[in-house]
Amino acid sequence: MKRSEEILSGLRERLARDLISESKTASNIFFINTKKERVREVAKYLIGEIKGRLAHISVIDRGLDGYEVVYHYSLDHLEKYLHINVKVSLPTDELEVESVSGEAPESSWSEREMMELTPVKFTNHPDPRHLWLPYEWPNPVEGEEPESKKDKNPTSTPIEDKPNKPSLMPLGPYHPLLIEGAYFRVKLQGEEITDVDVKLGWNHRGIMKLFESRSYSRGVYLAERICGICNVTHTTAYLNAVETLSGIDVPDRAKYIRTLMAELERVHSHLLWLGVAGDLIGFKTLFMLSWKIREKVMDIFEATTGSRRTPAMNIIGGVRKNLSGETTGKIERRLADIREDVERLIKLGYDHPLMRNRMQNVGVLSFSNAVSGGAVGPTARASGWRLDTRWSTPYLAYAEGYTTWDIVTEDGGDVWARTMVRLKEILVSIDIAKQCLHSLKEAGGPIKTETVDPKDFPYSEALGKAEAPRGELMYYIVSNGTNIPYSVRIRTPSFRNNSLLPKMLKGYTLADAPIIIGSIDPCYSCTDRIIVIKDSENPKVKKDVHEGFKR
Amino acid sequence: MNLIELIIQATLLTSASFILGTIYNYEIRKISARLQSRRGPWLLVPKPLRKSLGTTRILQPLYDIIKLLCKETIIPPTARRRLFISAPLFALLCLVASSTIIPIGEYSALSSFDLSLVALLYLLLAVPFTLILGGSVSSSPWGIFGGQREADLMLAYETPIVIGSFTTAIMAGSMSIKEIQVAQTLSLPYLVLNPFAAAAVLLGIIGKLHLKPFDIPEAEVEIVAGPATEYSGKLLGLMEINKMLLTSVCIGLFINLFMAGGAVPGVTLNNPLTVLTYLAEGLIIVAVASLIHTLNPRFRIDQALDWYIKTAALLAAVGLCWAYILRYIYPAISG
Repeated sequence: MKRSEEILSGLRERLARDLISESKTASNIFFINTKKERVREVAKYLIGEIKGRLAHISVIDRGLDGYEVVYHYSLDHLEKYLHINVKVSLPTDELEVESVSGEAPESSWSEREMMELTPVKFTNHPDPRHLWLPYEWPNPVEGEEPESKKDKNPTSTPIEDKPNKPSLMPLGPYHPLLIEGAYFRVKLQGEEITDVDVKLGWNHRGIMKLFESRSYSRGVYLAERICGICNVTHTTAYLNAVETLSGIDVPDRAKYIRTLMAELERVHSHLLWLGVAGDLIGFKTLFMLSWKIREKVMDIFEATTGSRRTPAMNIIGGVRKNLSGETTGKIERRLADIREDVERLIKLGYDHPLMRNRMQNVGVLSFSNAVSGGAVGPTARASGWRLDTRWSTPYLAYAEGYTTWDIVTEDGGDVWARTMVRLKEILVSIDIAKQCLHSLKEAGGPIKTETVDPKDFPYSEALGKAEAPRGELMYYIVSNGTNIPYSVRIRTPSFRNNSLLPKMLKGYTLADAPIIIGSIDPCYSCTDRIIVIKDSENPKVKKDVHEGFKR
Repeated sequence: MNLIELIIQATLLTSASFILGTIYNYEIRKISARLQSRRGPWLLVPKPLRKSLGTTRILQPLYDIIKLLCKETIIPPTARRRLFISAPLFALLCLVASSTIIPIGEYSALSSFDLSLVALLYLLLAVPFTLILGGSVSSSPWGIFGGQREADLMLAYETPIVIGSFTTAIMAGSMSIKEIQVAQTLSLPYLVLNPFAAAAVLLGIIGKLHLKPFDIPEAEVEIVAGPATEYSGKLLGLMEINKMLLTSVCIGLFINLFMAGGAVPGVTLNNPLTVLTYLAEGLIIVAVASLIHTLNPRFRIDQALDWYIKTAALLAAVGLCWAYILRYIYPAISG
């Protein structure tokens, strides 16, 4: 019996009569409807016994039918493509469901996000504070702040100069540490970090809502603009979902071109990260060196797509532009160049005693912490977890028969391991890109399907996943028969890794904080969601905001 | 030497010291830029741009200071105003005094008096204290952290400087900088005779100038700008002036104690050409320092202290022992 059958029959056994319906959309992706009383039991089974992952929790507004909570269990590291989505319907008059944070600690942030974006409440949540709204906003999201919580998270604490008393330091939202806005409230004892609270939401976006107002083909460009660095991966994940929904088969040549773009993007992103990491340990020369190499990747992008960073190659059903034989040859030569440079960088890293001093045994994330916190991408792989969406849910040309490659892992779990995973992944990416180029020389055929702007979508839902340079990226799209998506939910890799930061930071010094925060390659503009402060008439909000900012 | 002559000499020496400091800082910027595949400030501006930029940008650090001096100074209302303003001023005073002690080639104002080395070391020791003070009274947590780190680091880098400097005094048998200079011309430069002490002092100087890997008190990604976080406008300009003076005084100290103050075979100490050899030697030392600056990331504070004790202080101790050994083996060439 296959593993998926085993897991599903176990689930059916446990749910018994409460299993309302069961369906299978794409290969090995299952949707199961059940009652809301059973969610914790399902989590206990799928996380505790099966050792699966809870990728995200989406809440879909079904209008008069109430709300639908979808638990996306990713079991693809156990069997390829295997996903079990457990759905629970909530009528409009009782929007409460029990939190599964006890069984699946990684879901804590997902639940906090959904509590904030929708009226659904997850009861018994260990940390029901809001995630995106500012500290000044009353907690919990709606209603009065409980007295007990007030002292725990005061809006501002004066810096005390008494010896041996912990002091509170604000790392962010505007700090030379990162160009993006993020707020780390760090409690220090001397220079040692004893406690950390992460506050996101300094970018006011609204992309998930915007998706619901434009057609699928225009959504591609919106997805591209979520992140400046991993925009190809965002469109890939979006298109994976859309093409599953509409049943479009992408021609082989397009698959190779898409893969090539995605891998080039990984090379550029990892080099960019290395430069930033160098800057974070005060190594400006490394920053300049690696960005100089990155420039070569940008040149490839410019020569092939006309744009340095936002190639806009992916469209529904294929790619926008073909690559000529001449261009592929040029790219191949350039890639050989980059490979040489990167190998030299790896050597430099191993030979530089100060770099090793600053990175080794710093910000250690143990394997068990990585698993329980749901780490993704290089952060997980550096802790020894063989987790890669390209491997577990092969899309495009990552599947067997297209390209051959292997996952890079390290055991240390520290900043050094995360650096080395990324550097070695560049070599793997160049390898995959070369295989794609080789196949492009032989594989002819069209680069897109006939319909690039499909109008008829079934009443269905789909999961689209892709491995961004930072880790697993997930799109969940619900369609309603029109050419406009009914709902889009995005789980970015940084969302998961950010929630792990407090675990990595505790016990290290303030001087280590920048490189530890930088080591997960955080991308806040991907992660951030919309904040709309409509309630300016609420006297409490007004008072707090005014006292807090003195504007 | 009457008083007016002394004042004129001191003024000239201080301005010369300041100009030397800008040139040294230019060199640090240029070398690190070239090693990082950047251009850096132009040594020779291309012809089409000369009209607007001038022939050379070698005084770029000076232009930066002039820009800062033209800007508005903001003093945080929560800072201790008097101490906040007086900290950089006091540092400037100390540095002006110490640049009159440091001889440039054959020219010197106060270097010949007895115990001038001790006076100089004390004056240089006062500079980090003003940084600690300025950071601590600025009411910014980053300033306080920077001051704290500076206090920690100061203990580490002053040790090799002090031990190494006094080693030269032992070798020359005098506490006067001028006499240490003269003693070197009689035997050999102490850089050759006692390379251990020279290395220790140079490493100490790199820490004192906050070059990498020891720019810990002003690590921008960790604590913004350290003690200088709240300083702006003219006060920040003053701090930059201090930096220029400190660079030239520290490098000058090294040249005078270990390289015979610019005297090379063929150019004796009383030759006006020593100014040129002094400059050349300074540029070489700065080039070495900026290589170290460019090719290293920043130490963490505990690693820096550890490294200073294990390497630089050890080198200084070896240098001290070597000086005594040298006295017994070759009494002729040492002091």
